[in-house]
Amino acid sequence: MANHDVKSVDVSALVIANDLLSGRSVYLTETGDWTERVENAWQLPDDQSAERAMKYAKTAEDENQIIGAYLVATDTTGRAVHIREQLRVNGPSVQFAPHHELINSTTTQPLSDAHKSLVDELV
Amino acid sequence: MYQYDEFDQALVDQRCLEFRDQVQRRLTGELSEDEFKPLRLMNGLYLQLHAYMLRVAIPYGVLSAEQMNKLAFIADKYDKGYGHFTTRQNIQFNWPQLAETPDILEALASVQMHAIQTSGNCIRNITTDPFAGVAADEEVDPRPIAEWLRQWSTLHPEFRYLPRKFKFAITGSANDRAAIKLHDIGLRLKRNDAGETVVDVWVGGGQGRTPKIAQLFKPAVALSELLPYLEAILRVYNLYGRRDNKYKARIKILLAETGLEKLQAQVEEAYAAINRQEFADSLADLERINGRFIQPDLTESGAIADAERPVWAMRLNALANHSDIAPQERKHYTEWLTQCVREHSHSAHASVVISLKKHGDIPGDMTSAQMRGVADIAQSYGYNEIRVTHRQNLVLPQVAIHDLVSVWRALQQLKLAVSNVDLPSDIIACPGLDYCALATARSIPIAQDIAQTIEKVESGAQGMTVNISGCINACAHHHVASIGILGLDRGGVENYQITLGGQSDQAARLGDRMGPGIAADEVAPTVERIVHFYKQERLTGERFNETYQRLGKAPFKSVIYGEEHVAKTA
Repeated sequence: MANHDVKSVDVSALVIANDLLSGRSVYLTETGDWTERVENAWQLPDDQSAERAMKYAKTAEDENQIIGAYLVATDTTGRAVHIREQLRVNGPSVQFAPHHELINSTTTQPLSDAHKSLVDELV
Repeated sequence: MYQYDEFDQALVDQRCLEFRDQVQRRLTGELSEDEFKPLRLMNGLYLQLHAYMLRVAIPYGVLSAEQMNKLAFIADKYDKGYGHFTTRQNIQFNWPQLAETPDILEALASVQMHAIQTSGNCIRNITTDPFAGVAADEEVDPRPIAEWLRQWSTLHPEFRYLPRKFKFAITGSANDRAAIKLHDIGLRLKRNDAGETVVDVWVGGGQGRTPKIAQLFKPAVALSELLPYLEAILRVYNLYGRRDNKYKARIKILLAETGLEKLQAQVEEAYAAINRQEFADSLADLERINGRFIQPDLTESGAIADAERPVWAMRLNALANHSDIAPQERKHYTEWLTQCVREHSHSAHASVVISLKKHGDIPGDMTSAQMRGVADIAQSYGYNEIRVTHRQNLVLPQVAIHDLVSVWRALQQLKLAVSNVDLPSDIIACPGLDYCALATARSIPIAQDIAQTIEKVESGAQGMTVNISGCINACAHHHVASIGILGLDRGGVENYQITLGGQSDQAARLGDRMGPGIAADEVAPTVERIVHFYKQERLTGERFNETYQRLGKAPFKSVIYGEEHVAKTA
């Protein structure tokens, strides 16, 4: 169990895990499937349903579908309460590789020899 | 650079085959996650918040252009087009798929790279001075020694399950740029009066929740004795290091609990018991390794070393006034020369630091296009070599001075001609809660906010370091920064503690905690006020830590919390 799992359901909860193949965060649905879309996650209103959900999760772990399942507390809107789980749900809060599209090494200008003779006299 | 021999290549190739089989067995269910986890970790494969993360070793931070191109290929084919350079001089990929990781390891092996011992309780990647072999102030090149230790420690059967991970750093200069006193073992290579290489062995440094500066454990160890002596230290640590509490398992705790003299005596006893025959060939091995370091011919560029070295500052001034630089470019070029170009042992060459800290970007991140661009520059102007620094930047260790203008122009196109090396916006930041499963708060967006906030005021604050860690494990070295920032979780809200006055060089010192933590949106303005205050109060030529030591904590606490708050809590 991860450090941020909840032991009992105050408002509601959902089950989060990592997909074995991709490692991506996935959520247990009411049909016992796993989805990457949190809006399709099974919102668990009480301890009984949470217990049932975790049994599904254990089976899925045993069947090598997912790893590291645990319960995440959610508020009345179904949103994760803790920032750690909010980040797991939404992905990193920062834009990675901002210049990925901007730069292409093929656009690098031809490497100049002209500078050499110009600078040589100075050094 | 070191070139693999057939044994090195066979070892990494064999490991690829072994890991492919392990992954296959995991995917078919033959291995459970509990069984597979230690195997994947031994190959650098972690499971983080959003995905698997693969940590690739860059031994002592040295990369060839070909290897950098391969990292770009991996970033594009198996990840999201970028990688993250770390404070251990490694690179991490944040989004690989499990089934593809054996292919990644094979791609790495094809260019003499691997991910072995980038995780687990073993001897990790050995780090060193990014200017090793080229620094003007260097006494001994640490790279062959680092490679010697890498070969000794790789898959060492006795040290694969140590009480905790174990980190080495090595420097061959009096000016320590490898933070050796913050490692489990730090090695300082020097010459004795007879001109022989000897090694001061420092033990027990480290950061995390119990930061410690290493103590000089044994001075002037002869090279012939180094491996058996290190083996003795590891043997004692393996025997007596605590395994009951992972937070007390590092050798720094063993040293603190045992005491220096007693631990030294235990090591001497272990050292005396070592079968020296096992090390009979160690110096011959070092000689062999030396022979596999291909040193570039620095005369190829046509740059001839001067018999009398001009003063570096005069040389930079001459370069800055170069006629090929347009008047509107001169300011930027001069700033870049001043901040990013370092003196080389060969007077017609320089080392270029490439900042991966463009204001507002993610510290240490690099796109595949930038990787390819830097590889191109290294091939054209840098003798094919690139270094990774523990401050999450890159170095082109040897560039002919007459090529600096061209390198600057090429870096500009890659958005990498960023003139903030050793300024406060040259921030070390761990991945933090945006990626890391251990983190308690975010560090990247705080670092971005700080860098953008102080961009206009940081000029002249040379050597003032800002390091930010997203948890107590201190991956970003916040304990040894001029301004250290530690992100914590306070009741579900991110909160940031400030320390001041730390440094990681030969005069290593842990920073002083200033007081209660502050909110995320207060961090950048607070850092800005500290930079302002330092610039206002410093004496001529005084570095931040000197000003801090002279003035003491009190005025800085007022700058951070306000005079009213300080008065109330006094």
